[in-house]
This record gives sequence, C-alpha cells and structure tokens, in this order.
Amino acid sequence: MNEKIDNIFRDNLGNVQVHPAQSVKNGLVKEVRSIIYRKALFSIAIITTSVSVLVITSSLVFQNANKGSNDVSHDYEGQNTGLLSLNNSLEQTTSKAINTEDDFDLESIENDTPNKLEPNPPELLAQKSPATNADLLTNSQSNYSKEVTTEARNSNVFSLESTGKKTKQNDYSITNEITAIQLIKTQKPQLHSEPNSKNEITAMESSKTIESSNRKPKEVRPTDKYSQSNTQSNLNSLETAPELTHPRFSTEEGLTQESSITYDFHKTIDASNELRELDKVYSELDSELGNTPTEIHNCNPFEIGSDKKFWSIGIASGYGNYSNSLNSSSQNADVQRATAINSKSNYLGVFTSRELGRLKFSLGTGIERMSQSYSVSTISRTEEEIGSYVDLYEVVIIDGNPTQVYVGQEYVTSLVEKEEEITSGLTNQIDYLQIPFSVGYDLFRGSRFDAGFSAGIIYNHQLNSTGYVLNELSGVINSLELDKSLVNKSLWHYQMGITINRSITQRISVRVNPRLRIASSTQFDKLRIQSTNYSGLDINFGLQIKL
Amino acid sequence: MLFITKMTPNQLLHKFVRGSNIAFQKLYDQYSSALMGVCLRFSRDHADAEDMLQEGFIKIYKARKTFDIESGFSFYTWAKRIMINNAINYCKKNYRYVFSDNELEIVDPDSENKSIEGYKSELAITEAKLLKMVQELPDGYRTIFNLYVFENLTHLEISEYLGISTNTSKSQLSRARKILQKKIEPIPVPNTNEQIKVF
Repeated sequence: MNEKIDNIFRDNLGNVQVHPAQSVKNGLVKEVRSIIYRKALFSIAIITTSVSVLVITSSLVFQNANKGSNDVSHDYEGQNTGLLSLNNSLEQTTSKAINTEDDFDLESIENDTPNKLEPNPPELLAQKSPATNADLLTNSQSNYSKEVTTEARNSNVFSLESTGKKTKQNDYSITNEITAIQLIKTQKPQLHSEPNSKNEITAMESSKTIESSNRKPKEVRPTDKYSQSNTQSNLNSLETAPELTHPRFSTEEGLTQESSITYDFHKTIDASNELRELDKVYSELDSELGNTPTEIHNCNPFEIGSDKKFWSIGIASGYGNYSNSLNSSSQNADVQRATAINSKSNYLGVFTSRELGRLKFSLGTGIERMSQSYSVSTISRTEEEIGSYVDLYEVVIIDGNPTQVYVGQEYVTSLVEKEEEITSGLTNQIDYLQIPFSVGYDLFRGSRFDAGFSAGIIYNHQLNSTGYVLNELSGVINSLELDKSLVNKSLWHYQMGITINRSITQRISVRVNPRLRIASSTQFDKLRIQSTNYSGLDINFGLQIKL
Repeated sequence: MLFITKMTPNQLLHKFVRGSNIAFQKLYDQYSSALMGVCLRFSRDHADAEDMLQEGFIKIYKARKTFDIESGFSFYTWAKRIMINNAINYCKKNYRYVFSDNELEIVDPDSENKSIEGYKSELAITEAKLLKMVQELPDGYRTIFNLYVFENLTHLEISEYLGISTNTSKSQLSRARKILQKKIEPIPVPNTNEQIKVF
C-alpha cells in the first residue's frame, strides 16, 4: 500500500512543472543586477582607493625625498661656512624644533601651573613646580632664545646649571658663543622672514640643545590656548621670578659662568639685530621683485625647486590626418597607377607626467581609432587615334637653289597622357591601444604659458579591425575584406612637436601638442600596396592636473 | 538575446559561470518551471514556493563558480540540489518545524475534510490536488516525504541530511503516508497514466 501511495505521488508530481509568476523573474533579475552592480562598485572602490593611496604615497615619498636632499645639502653648507643657513628647508626644520621645544615647555608649565595668568605667577610657579633640571633647562633655554632683545636679563635663570648636571648648560653656552661669532662673521645673512628671524636664530640653538640634552622631541601643535603672547608672558614671568633661586641651582660658580654667557649672548643679540635689518631689506626686495626668497638666494642656478618637481595626471584627446605616399606601380610601360591612403585618427586617453623643472616626461595610454579611405588613380600614355593631316614638303635644288616642293599630306597621330582617378570607396577602421611616451623641454616658462618641444615614441597595439583593404593580383586591383592577420599587431612611431601649456588654475592646465608623427613600421602585412609607412600631422589636447 | 539563442548549451553554461546576466536569465527560462515544481512540493503554498524559487536562484547565481561544467553533472541536477537545500532552510527558518519522534500530527481536521470534500465534487484528482495534499502535510512530514519519495533518498541519507535519527525519519514518513492515504483512500489507485478517480 505504501508503495502504491508513493507511486501515485511520484508519478504525478515527480516531474510537475509550474510556471512561476513573471514577478519572480523580475525580482530575480533585479537582484542579480544589484549583485553585479555591487560587485562592480566594490571593484571600482578598491581600484580608486588603491590608486589614491598610490598617488598620495608616491607624492609624499617624492616630497620627502626632495626635502631630505635639500636638508642634507644645507647641513653640509652650514658646516662648511659656519653660517646660519637659514634657507627654506632649514627654516622649516628649525621652526619645527622651536615649536616642539616651546610646546613641550608650555605643556610642562601648564601642567604644573594651572593659574599661569594670575598676577603673581612667578611665585606660584616657583612654589608649585618641582622643576627638574631638564624642565628648567628647557624653560630657560626657551626664554633665553626668545628674549634675545631683553636687556635686563636675570642671570639667576642661568644659574640652574650649577649643580652636577651643569655640563648641558656649558655646552649650551659654548654653542651660544660659537653662534655669536658665526653671526658676526656672517657676511651675507639670509634671513627672510622678519617675524621669524628671532625664531630662526633660536632654532639653531634649540636644535643643538635638543641634540646635546638628548631630549626626545614631542610633536604637539600649539593651540589657541597656548598663544604666543601668553607663552611669552608666562615665560617672562618664569624667567624673572626672584624666587626661582632654588639652592640646587644657585652657586657662585654658575653665576660667573652665566655672566660670561650673557656677555657673549649680547653679541649675539647685536648681530641678530643687524641681521634682521638686513633681512628686512631682502624681504622688501623679494616682495618688489615678486620672487620667493628661495629664488633670490638659491645660489645654484641649476637646482630645481621643489615647486618645479611634480607629478601630474590628465586626459588627452587627439586628431590626426595622415597620408601615405604609396608606391606607384607600373602595370606596363605606358600605364602607371598611383594609390593613396588617407588616414584619420581620433585618440582618447589618459596620461601621467613627471616634471623636473623644464624637463617633462609623459607616459599615456588610450584608444586610437584610425579610419582609412583609399583612392586609386591611373596615368596612361596612349596614342591618340584621331590625329591631324600635316602638309609634307620636299626640298629640291633647282638651278642651284634649294626649293620646297609640296608633295602631299600625311595623317599624323600623337601620344597624349590621360589621367584617370578611380575612387574605389574602400574604407576600413582599425582600433589600436596606444601608449605614447615623450620627453619634453620647456624653452619658455612664463607665469601662465609654457612652451617647448617634445619628442618620443608611440606604440600602437591592434585591437580590432574592420572594413576592406586593397589587394593587387597580377596588376589588377581588387578589394579584400580586412582580416586581423592582414594588419600588423604592433606599430611603432616616432613623434616630435611643440608643446604649449596654459595654466587655468594653480593646479589645472591645458596642453596643446601639435606634432609630426612618422610610422617606423608598416601598418599592413602581406599586401604590397599598403605596405608603406605613413606619416602626418596630428594635434593633441590635454587637460592636466598637478598632483 | 539573439546572440544567446545561437549559443550551444555548453557555451551558455560557460557564460553563466563567468557571470553573464543574460545567460542566467536564459537558464532561468529553461529550468524555472521544473524547479518551481520542486519548491511547490516543499512549501505550504504557491507564494512560499515562489519565494523559495527566487531565493534558490539567487543562491544558484552566487554559487555559479562551484558548478563544474566538465564534471558531467547536468545543470538541472546541480541546481535542484541547491534548490532543495534552500527549500529545507526556508522551511526551518519560516515554518520553525522540528523533527521529533513524538511529533503530533498537526493536521487541521477542517482542512482535511475540506480537501476531501472538495475533491468529491470533481471527477478526477489532478496534479494540483495531489500537490495540495502534499502541501497540507505537516512541515516535517512533508520534507521527509519529499526526500524519500521524490528524491529517492534512503532513511539513512535523510537522517544525515536533516540531522535526525533514522527512526524519526521512518516514523514521520509513515505518518505522512497515513495522512495521504486517508485523503485518497476512497480513490481507486490509477495506473501511471490514468487520472485518479474520486469514488
């Protein structure tokens, strides 16, 4: 019985087929599309992220590499000349050092003295801060550097070194002496920024102090809470605090040394004042000339500024018109045939460019569609059937005199050239993956326009081809359907031209590049007629974004 | 679409495995009816069957790369297995049925009477009516009945498949048969190609 029931259901429902509602399919298609879109979006997001990371990383790497090379050169220069090499890179470095130092000081002061703006902060500071040697040394150094113009300087501030750890301060005083001498001997100071000039001097000192005290720089950005004025007043208060003469830090020995330091330091102050005056003059000159200080004071004319080294990306489109100087084949002695191919190309692609001052390297990729049309013309020399009658004369000597005697007429035919153009109307279309590479050099660099020349190579890889080509069999031209095997897969070109750049914004510029393009290899294979190199002019337009 | 129709089944499958939406639609058109029949047997009603079918086809699309064209298995066999797995999961999720030896027959007496009464007025029991009988079985019974009768699985295979004991499988199949027998008892058992007569 069980078997029978099973069979009933198996036989009737085993292969039952019911058409589902159309809504099921619609929903399914929608769901599958969303899966595909999600996948595509995910892929695009991954690619975009990867490219962004790559671009940012590479730009940072290049930026750091440039900065590093500049720093090395400047350090070397500073060692050789003994000058304060206050050019741009060092300014940045030293500014960082100052900020680090100051911030560190501020933090330590703030942590220890929450009421730093009260009327009597020095006392509070002196009482509240347990002031380790390192902290006080740091504070005094910071004050010392910032208060270079202060005449009344409390030497007690410098007495903190008199304990067993005074070697640090001694180093520091030596540094100051050297700095003062260096500054006095400086013939051409290169301070550029008036407000920063003080800091720049300090920077050298601070950076050296950091080295000598082996303090780990702390990267803390100054905030509004720690404004410069507050900092200064706070530091002044700390510096001039009479109670800051802890027995640990006050010995006569220390005071004696401090007086000599102060003396040397005043030299430094005088020198720095002179430098600032000179710097004012240079700054004014810079502003009048519209140049950055780097451009004025960089001694090396061949050095490429960091602002001239950059990567850029862009899109490019091009149009070209080429004509092949195809061979003229002679079918026989009296008939010659000339065949011409007129090629037009359209290009759309992207490129990346690396600029090193005036030198530019550009690499791109894109799709080029080349459309060709053929025209065939023949020139034949044939004997004209219809000629003309010409009178014939014979010279006869009668009585010793030569006399022309009419003897009749003759029908004379002549050879004429007939030119016949046969436009076959054959066209084809070949798609290429194009990879152009060029090296350019700017001959003229203006504020908005750059112009120069460029040369390079172009590689074309055949992707698709449709249409017809000419074929010749025993002197007879016919057409042949274009097959991939008839077109060379690879096609190389030389290109040279001029490049004109026009800046639209600081980062965006447009580029025009008319150029001569010469194919170095033949485009077609196995076909005698088309097996010639073509050449022609094309023009490229690009939109370039500086990274 | 013309492009797809020109393709051989093997090419169609290759396209499907590569993720072609058009190839997938073509396969849906070919096999959706048969797979809908499978879903109807496992579900309580037509709407649930359509949900099962849709979910199952999405799983088929997602699992397309696991389909080995060269293995010799037909697409239908592979797709049916996915569909059955999906149907069982659907039942577990939406019907919340449990397999137990002591599972009571949750059969609505009214519905039983209705179904039989409904058939009394008709001369023949069509496939739809047999299908309705199966759909009206308790969920656990229906699943085991489907696997045993239509998928030709043994009790051991069913027990492994569903994670139950073989005795549970046997008892539930037995109870399913009893219910179905009650419903079609008055009906003379037809031959394979004959229609089932009521009374």
